[in-house]
This record gives sequence, C-alpha cells and structure tokens, in this order.
Amino acid sequence: MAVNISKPEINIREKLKELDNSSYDRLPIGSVVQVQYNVLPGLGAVNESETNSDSWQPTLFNVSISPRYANSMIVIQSAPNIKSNGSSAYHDLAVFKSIDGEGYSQLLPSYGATASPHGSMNWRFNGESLWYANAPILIVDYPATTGEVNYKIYHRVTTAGAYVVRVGENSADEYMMAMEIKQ
Amino acid sequence: MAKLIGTDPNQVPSNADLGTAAYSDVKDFLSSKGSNLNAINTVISRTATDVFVYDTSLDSDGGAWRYKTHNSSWYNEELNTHQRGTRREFPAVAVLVLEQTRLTIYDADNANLPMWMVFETGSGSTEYGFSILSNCYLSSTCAMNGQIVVTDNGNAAGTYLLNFIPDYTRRIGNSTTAGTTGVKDGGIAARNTVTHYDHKNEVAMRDWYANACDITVFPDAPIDPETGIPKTTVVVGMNNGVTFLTHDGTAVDIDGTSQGESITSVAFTNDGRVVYCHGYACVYANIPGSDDVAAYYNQTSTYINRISNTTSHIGVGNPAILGSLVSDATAMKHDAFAVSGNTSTSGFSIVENMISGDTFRQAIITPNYNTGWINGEVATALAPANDLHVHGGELVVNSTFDSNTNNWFTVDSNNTITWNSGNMEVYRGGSGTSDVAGSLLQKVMKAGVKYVIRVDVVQDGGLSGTYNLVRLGSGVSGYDRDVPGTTGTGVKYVTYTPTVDIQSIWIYAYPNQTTIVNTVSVSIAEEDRGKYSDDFQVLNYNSNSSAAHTATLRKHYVAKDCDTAAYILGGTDGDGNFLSSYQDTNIGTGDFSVSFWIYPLRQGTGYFHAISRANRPLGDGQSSTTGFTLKFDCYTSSVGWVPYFYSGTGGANSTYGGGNTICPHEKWTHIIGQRRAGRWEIYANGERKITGSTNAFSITEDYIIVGRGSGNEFGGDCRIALIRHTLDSVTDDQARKIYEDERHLFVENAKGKMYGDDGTVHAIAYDKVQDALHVGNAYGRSVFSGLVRKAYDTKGITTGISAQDGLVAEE
Repeated sequence: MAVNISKPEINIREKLKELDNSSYDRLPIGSVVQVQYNVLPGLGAVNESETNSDSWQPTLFNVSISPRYANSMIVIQSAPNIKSNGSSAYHDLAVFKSIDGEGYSQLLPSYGATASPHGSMNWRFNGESLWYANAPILIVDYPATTGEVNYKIYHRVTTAGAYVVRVGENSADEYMMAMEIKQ
Repeated sequence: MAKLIGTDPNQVPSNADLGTAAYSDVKDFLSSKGSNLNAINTVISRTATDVFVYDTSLDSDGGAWRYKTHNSSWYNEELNTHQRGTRREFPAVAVLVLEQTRLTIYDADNANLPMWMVFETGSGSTEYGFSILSNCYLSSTCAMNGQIVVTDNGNAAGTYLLNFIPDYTRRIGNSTTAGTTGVKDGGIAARNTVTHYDHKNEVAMRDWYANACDITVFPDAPIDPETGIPKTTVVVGMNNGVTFLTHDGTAVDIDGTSQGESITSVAFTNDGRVVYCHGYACVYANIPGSDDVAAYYNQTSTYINRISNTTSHIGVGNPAILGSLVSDATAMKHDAFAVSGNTSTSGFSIVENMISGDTFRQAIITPNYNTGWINGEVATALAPANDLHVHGGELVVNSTFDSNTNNWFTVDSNNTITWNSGNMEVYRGGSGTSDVAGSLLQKVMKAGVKYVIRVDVVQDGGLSGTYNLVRLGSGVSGYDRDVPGTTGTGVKYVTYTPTVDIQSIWIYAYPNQTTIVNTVSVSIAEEDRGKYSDDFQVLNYNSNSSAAHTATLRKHYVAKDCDTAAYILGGTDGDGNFLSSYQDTNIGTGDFSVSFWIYPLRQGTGYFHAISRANRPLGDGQSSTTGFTLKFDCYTSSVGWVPYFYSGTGGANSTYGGGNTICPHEKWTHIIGQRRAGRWEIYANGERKITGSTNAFSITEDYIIVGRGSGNEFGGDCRIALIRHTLDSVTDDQARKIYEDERHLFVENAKGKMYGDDGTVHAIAYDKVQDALHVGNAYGRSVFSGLVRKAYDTKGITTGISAQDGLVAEE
C-alpha cells in the first residue's frame, strides 16, 4: 500500500487576501465578541420594582443580546441596589431569560433549582427593619441560539407577605450588561 | 564539467534563453506568470498504520515555537542522513506517517515532501530508540504545540510523547516505575540510539496496550514553563479504558471494568468534551476530574450519551448506526462529531447536540441515501435509495377476511378454516397435518427481495408464544419455512427476505388448537432508515381493502442531476398509493415532530394527508381521538398549499388560515409539524409560521401512514422527500439549522450520498480549516461540507485519512 499526499493548487493572491482579513471567526477562544449594556436611569422610581410575593417576580433590570455564535458563553453582570423592609425572611434574586420573545425561564444553578432555592443570590440582615444594600450579580449562560436573548432579574421574598423587598433605587443610574465570549 | 548555462533546472538561463522575459520589469514578469503555487501530489511507498497532517499554524502560538529551538539537539544534529533530512527547523506543515515500527515526519512545506526526520524502533534490546521491545505495533499518532504523541499496542509497549520544544521523549506505561519508561537520555537527537530511560514518570496509563490518541489545548490550560506555550491535554484509548494526560500533570481514567471491548478510537470534541468508541458504541462524555470507573461505560459519571450499533444495543434516547461496531470517532465543529458503522450498508453518521436533556440531531449518510437531520428519538425516517419505482401492493388475495375466508384452503380434512366476525379461525385436528391453512400469493415473493409481513393474531393456537405462527411455502401444497418474529398474539410486523421464491403463505396451529387471525398481509418493504427499521408497506387505497392489488409507487429526483429522491403521492400523479408502517412507539402526551420536504405539483381539488397516526393502514388519523393527521388544504389557494394538523380531539390543532399560503406550487418547502410542551406548531423553511393551540391529548395510534389519513381525501398531488417522525420536538433555532443545512440538497447537481457502492467506511477525517469532512471507503474519498458531498476522489482508502487546510494524507 502507499500513502498519498495531495493539496490543490493555491492562488497566492487569494490566499493573501484570505489571511489578511480579520473576522470574528479568527478570534481565539475566550475573546469578547460583543458587549450589550442597558442603563436603568435613576430618574424618579423608573428602575424600581417591589414585591412581597414568595414567587419569582420580574424586575425592570434586563439586557438583550443576539449571540453571533450559537455556542458562545454569555456573561451577565449587574449590581442593582436593593432594599428590604424587614429581616425575617430572605430576599432572593435570580436571572431569567427569554429567547426570541418566548416565555422566561430561570437560569438554573449547576445543581438545579432544588439544591439552590435562593436563586443566584440572597440577602438578609437579621434584626433590621429597613436596610439598603447592593446585590452584585454575575452569572454565565450558554443559550445555544443566535436569536435575541433577553436576560432579566427576578426577585422574591422567601416568606409570602413577610415584607416588601425592592430591586432598584431612584436617583441611582444602574445597569445590566451581557458579554458574548467566543468558545 | 557540467554546462552552467542553459534551461535545465540546475542551470542558469542566459538572456537569449529567457527571450523577452529578460527585459521585463520584475513585477510584470511575475504577474505574467500568474500567482498560483503548484499543487502537491505525492505518493509515499509505505504501509501506514496511521497518518496525521500537523499544521503548526493551529498551535497556540501559531507555530512561532519553530523559530525558538535553535539550541535543541535535533536542530543541530547532522543533516542529510538516513534518519534526518536537509532542513533544520521543524516544518510549518508536517505529514506524520506511522508504520508498525517507524514514524517518519515529512516536510509538507516542500511540494516534493522530502523526509524530515525518522524515529526507528529497537529490535528487542532494552532502552533502544523509539520502542524498546520487539512485537511493537505503533498504532496511532497526533500532534500539537510541538508535541507528537505515538501509541503502541504491541506487547506492553505504552505511549510516547515526543516533545520537540524542550527536546526530550517520554515513554509512559501502566506503572510510574515500570522499567524503561520515563524520559530518555540524550534528547531527540538520541532517538535511535541506545541511551537510558530514567524510569521516572509521575503518572501512569490505565493499560499498556494503546490504540488511539488525540490532543488538545483547553481554554484554561496553564502555560508550560518548559515550552512557554499552553500545556496540552492528551487522551489515549487502550485495550482497557481511556486515560487523559491532563495539563495539570495528572493522569485520570475512564473505564468500564466489565466491558471487554477495547477502545479503538478517541477524539476531543470542540465543545470541551470527548468521544471514545468501545466496540458496540461511541460514548460522548465529559472530561473527568478524577478516575471515573464503573462496570460499564454508560454507568460512569462522565457519560452523557452514546451512539450505538443496531445489532445489539439499540436504546431509547440514543442515536444508532447500522452494523455491530461503531468506530472512527471524528470531532467536527462545535459539539458535532462523526462515526462509522462496520457493514457495507452502514455508512457514517454525524451527530450534534448530545448534551444531556437536550434534543440531539443525527444524519445518516451511506452510498444509498442521506436521511437529512433526524432530531431526537427517531420513530421513522424515509429516504429512498434512488428514483426507481417501487412495485408494491398487497400480495395476499384475501387479507382482511371482511366477509369470508375465500382463497384460503387446508390440505387435510382433519383441519378446518372458518370465518367468524371478520376473523379467520384455523383449527388443526389431533391427527391433522401441520399445513393447516394456506393461501396462494397473488404474486410470488422473489428471492433476495425484502418484504413486510403483517399479521394481527387474536389467538395463537396453543403455540404458547414459542412457535412461529406464519409459515411460507416455495410450493403450493405446504410450507417449508417459518417466519421469525411471528409468535404470540397481537400485531406481528416483521420484515423477511426469502432465499427462494415463495408461492404460498400458511397459518399454523398446534394439534387440537385453533389459531385466529384478523389480518394477514404481505407487501414489498420500503426501508425505514431509522434505528428500529420498521419498514413500510406500499399499498393503494383505490382497491378493496381485502383484495390483493398492485401499487406502483413512483419516485423522482428532487432536482436536475442531484441524488436525493422523492416519492410521488396523491390521487392522480400518485395513483392513490400510500406508505404504512406499524410502530410500537407511542407518543402519549409528550412531544413529537414530523418533518419532510414537499413539492406541491399544482392546485388540487381537496386535501393531501402528508403524515398520520392511525389505528391501521386504512385507518383514519384525522378522526381518531388518539391520532392525528398533518394535512394540506390544496384547493383554496391558487398559489400554494396550506398545512395544518387535524385530529378527532380538538379539531384543527393550529390556526387554519386560508390565506396563509406556506407551500408554493412547484417549489420545495421544508415543513416541520410538531407538538412542543403541548403546543401545536408548524414551521416552513425554518421559520415558525403557525403557533396553534395547546392540547396534550394522548396519541396512541400505532400506524404511521404517509400519503393518506382519512377516507378518500386524495385531493392533491405532490412530491415528498426526507420524511422523518420523532418523539421529540425542535426549538426555533434547531428548525432553522435543519432547513439551512438541508436546502443545499435540493438544488441542481447536489449530491448527498457517499461515493461508491460500499458503505463500509475505513477512515474519517475533519479539516477544521476548510470545514470539510473526508470519508474514505474502498472506492475512494468523499468530501462533505455540511450534508452535501462537494467532491470525491477515486483512490480507495484502507487505513487512515488526515486533512488540514486542503492538504490530505490518506492510505
């Protein structure tokens, strides 16, 4: 038997042109492909969402991104101001997503919702009747789509009716950001 | 002394020899000569066990390490010897040719592919050269970041790492202190001389006998202080298990300890996972962080899914490929990978989206057909081999006993045949012959042709579920063989290929027992390409249901000079023919989808039923409360057909928009109809066009029918191709992807099948630069881009293929 090695004729000009252009396809793994950023201005109560419900409620914090590649990682970041009018329960926050206008579903933690009932993060200050804080959110998603993905922060209080919790703060410009990372 | 002036390759031309070129401007001269570099077309007379095209531009530093090795032993060794070529630096593109006892590196920067370096093996002496033992068998090779991996499945031979940047070779066995393992003295320049190994390895393989390897760099790989570029991770498939030599410096294993098969093929996928083949299946798995050992590979914690054979290990939720062995795992882009079966009908399969909990996609491509994308758990897939008509129809003269048992007879007066309420009751007397009840077929079953035999057994005549109830006779007065799979009661739906021509069919009973049957049907089989191979009967509605009839199912290629064929169905052009298959796969209340390409021939006079789930071949899908029909309104619009679902539960399960013309006449449209989380949806050309009501009623009808579904609603004629039915649904993105990939099969000159007449695949390789899949069989090498074969070569492949940026090495 024999080993055959073959390669078709190459046109140098075409090859140089091919090598000379830059495109997203040439980005190495880990590169930032795009950043989408949504500012929620602190004009009055424009960015505030309150609830005393123990089921997940949407807030105004959201950002949309249309990934260039279906296999990209999306890094979602936000640092909303929060407020709780009590301390007998937890204020939970989680990130949900909707693809192409479909219904929202929670970005589940790696071990599933059952093992992580507090969503992405939770707050509680024992013994306080009113407190203000900031809740940094950092989560990673693989939406497996090139359609438009809208990420939105949801929240709840773990005991129904315990007290009112809030995401957002008037007079504070807040943001939510999504970054597409090439895989 | 040789003449210095002239036009030979080693002579200098004079101005007279150059002619007008002697006076040309340099730029003009070069441009007038064109800008093409010669093609490479070289034959190396070696019998290879593996080949690998190593393109250093794909290394982490783009191959820059090649200019930083000036102080290595191999860079400075003597050139122009039997083991070293004329060039010092490592080639930008090298072709590794592995033989049983030798590795030769060829310089592919030179169109003549000269030898660049040779690694020899010893002849039984200890600590000599590449392999220290006799009976070595170098089995596979791969390379990345200046590191070449060579596996050896000879007698206790191990795995070699040839590290060109730090300039040393290392041999690893299944013990950290095994003799003649560790780093070999003297650098790579001492590769073929007797120098000692230091007997020190920090890691060990799971087994000595190594068959396959792959190498990658993960995104989180640390920088190797020895090389200055990211560390590699190597995977080795062995007779027992898989070992990962990780970039952390550890070795972790996956093993199925009760699994006797060797690992024959391994590949890192481009989504950070691995595929490994262990005989009857190829497993798609996560990379383990620590040893992952269980009795069987599908019990390991890293196991995600697998593609299995069809002879012994078909499983729900797993794709499968024809044959007994699955091998040649080859990573493609993202999470896609290809594998091959081992028979002449197997071909190869591309699988994507195997993440647990998600819906995988599988395309099966052979020399005879290309299924297109099958999403999820397949119920059926129809892809005709060519455009030759199918001469089908019912071969049993009295098939359903509507009013009598005419045409059935017994050859013994001790046996009786009785009609009772639509059934044939067959009694065998105590001393009666076993040829209890027979019928002459209206047409002979031809030897070598595949048929479907369908029998609905009400009572199995004392056979205790042990003896086959259906018998066949090459003559007319008795049977001489039985049909396997026809034991017990209920619907028996089997395929059978006789070895001699068959003239009669017989129903059997035990002495003093009665067998009762409701239906006995025989027709030619139209093959189902899905893993369960529930082949279809080709029947015709226009004949009485209990009468034998012919049904010539016509086909047509989907475009000029392409090789994808479609069925012609409908009441006029399709003659009222339809296809029917019995499926023991209930949808229940869950998701399902049907997918096909349709070419309406013209405006019709009524409806066309594309696919139905009904209770029998001549049953009614659209009126059934546990079935459905995906049908088309063919008559309302003058420009095209409108699809919608209909069932006996809930009427039209989607918006019925008369003006919503989705399928234009005389054009191909891709249709997906599905129920997803209870909601009924219809896609056309990858876009969701109809979002219907939510109704998760239970669908339990057992027959899949293509081309009819209710009464005489044959009001439209069409061509229909790539028909698939699965027990999963698709997302909007998946629907788009399926359409975008498949539409290239429906254009002029499109080819979707493997080249040659043999589906036994000998090698597969993926060119990641050109996104081309090379598939080799005895007839040659087919090159696929997506689902379309864009080129082929006629040099038969026996052992291996490797391809990178258009450079192909094959044997």
